[in-house]
Amino acid sequence: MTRFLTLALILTLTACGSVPTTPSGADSDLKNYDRTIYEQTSTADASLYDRLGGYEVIERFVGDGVDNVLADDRINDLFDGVDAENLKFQLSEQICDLAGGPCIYSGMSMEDSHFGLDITAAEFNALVEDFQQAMRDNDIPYGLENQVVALLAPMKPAIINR
Amino acid sequence: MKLIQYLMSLMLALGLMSTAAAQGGRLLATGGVSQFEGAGGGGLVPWALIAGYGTEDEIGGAAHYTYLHTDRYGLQSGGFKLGLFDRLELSLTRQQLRVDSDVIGDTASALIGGLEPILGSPSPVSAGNANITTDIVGAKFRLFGDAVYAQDSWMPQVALGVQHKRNGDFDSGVVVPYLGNVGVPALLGAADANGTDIYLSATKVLLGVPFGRNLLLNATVRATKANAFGLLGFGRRVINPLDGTLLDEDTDYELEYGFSAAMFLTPSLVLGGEYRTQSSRLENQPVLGLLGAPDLAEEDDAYDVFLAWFPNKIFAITAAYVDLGNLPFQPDSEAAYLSLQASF
Repeated sequence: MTRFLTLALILTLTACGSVPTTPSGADSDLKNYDRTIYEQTSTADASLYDRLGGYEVIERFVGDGVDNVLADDRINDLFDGVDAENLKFQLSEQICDLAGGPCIYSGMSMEDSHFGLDITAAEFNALVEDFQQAMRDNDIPYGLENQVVALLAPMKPAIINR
Repeated sequence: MKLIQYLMSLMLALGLMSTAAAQGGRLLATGGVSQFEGAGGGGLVPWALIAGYGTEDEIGGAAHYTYLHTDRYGLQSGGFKLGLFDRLELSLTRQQLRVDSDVIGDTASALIGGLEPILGSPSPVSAGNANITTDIVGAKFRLFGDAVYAQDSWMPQVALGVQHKRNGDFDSGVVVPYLGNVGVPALLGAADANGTDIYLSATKVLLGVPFGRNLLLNATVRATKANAFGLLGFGRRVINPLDGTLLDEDTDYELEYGFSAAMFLTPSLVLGGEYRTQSSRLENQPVLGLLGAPDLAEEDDAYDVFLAWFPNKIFAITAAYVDLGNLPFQPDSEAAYLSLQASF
């Protein structure tokens, strides 16, 4: 599939291995929805990013999540030709940003990056399952796993059936 | 017991089918379990979720067998349902209520005690168990909302449902002194064998709330004429057994409410509780009052505490404690509940 390859080429690969930070005040195209119920009701002192254990932890489970996806026969054909390392970086940055970390997502909006892919609800859910498994394999506490999923869940309408 | 065998084989077949064919694409447990009237929901209350694991592009479904046991009553419920494109749920369910011979015997004794002075000695009666069978055809249509994914909004998923119930043992099946072959629902003062409930359910799953757990909240409002969920028929009609005159009647719809809360303790284990109100139309029944038990069929609100285990997307097992309150000749009916579900 060349559609994802095109996407991968468009995305700019920035430095890996360190926390990708952007000057504060800048805004990304990422968050196109209101604060989640979890964010509205949370009484936690620390950000989800800090409670997860920072960028290294996110990078680790995202890496395993992408590996799970690429090994998942339900959806891996959607990722043919995709630069896996770049995808891992983009997703780590995205979750870091959403979870209140020091990153600003530098990629395309969810609508643009999935345009024309016609991803189904079942394929979207399969990816969610692969990432849940990756978080469990990395001993992310179940409560934090649910909060990561809560932050990604509202993106569903921007991703499927595009 | 035929019902059990039939459903067990149906569930096994469904289980095998769903391992062979592709599993539905929704997330684990998001179809709920089967409530005892056959709708996708908790044990007592229907939820706005569409049963099975089918997404908006898929057809899902489930089969269930449930047994509820309390001292003098046993309720079996078995059926299957289809979830079409995460939009429409269609269900067929059979319920069988076993009424213990003690209850029939007590009813007979009460009748003999009350009527012997008026009507003379009764013909001999041997009390056996009685079964009340009810068939339920259900449909549920998701109107709007996304309970699980729309986490940026408090807007729940809302569904409109209907349950048409046909009580097959309304006015026959039990031999009672003086009255001959009667049905328990009619004897207790119910008006109709058949009835249709209409309900509106609103369900929301709060991901990561509270304590990072996923919490499901549901509220259901139901327009109904049912007595004891339809197991004792529908509406109220009290007739003087001696001269056949109508003493009073109530066949209007009433609104009843159901509430559920369920929390995922782990990804596959859900702890919940439910509450469901009932109309209690059969209380203060003057004919039963002649026998000294006017509130024999008074209904209390029902509630349950359940633990549901979803080891995979194929099977779910629910165990519950259910309190049904007053049942005839059993004022505090605490019941054990076990339900098996196979889904695809």
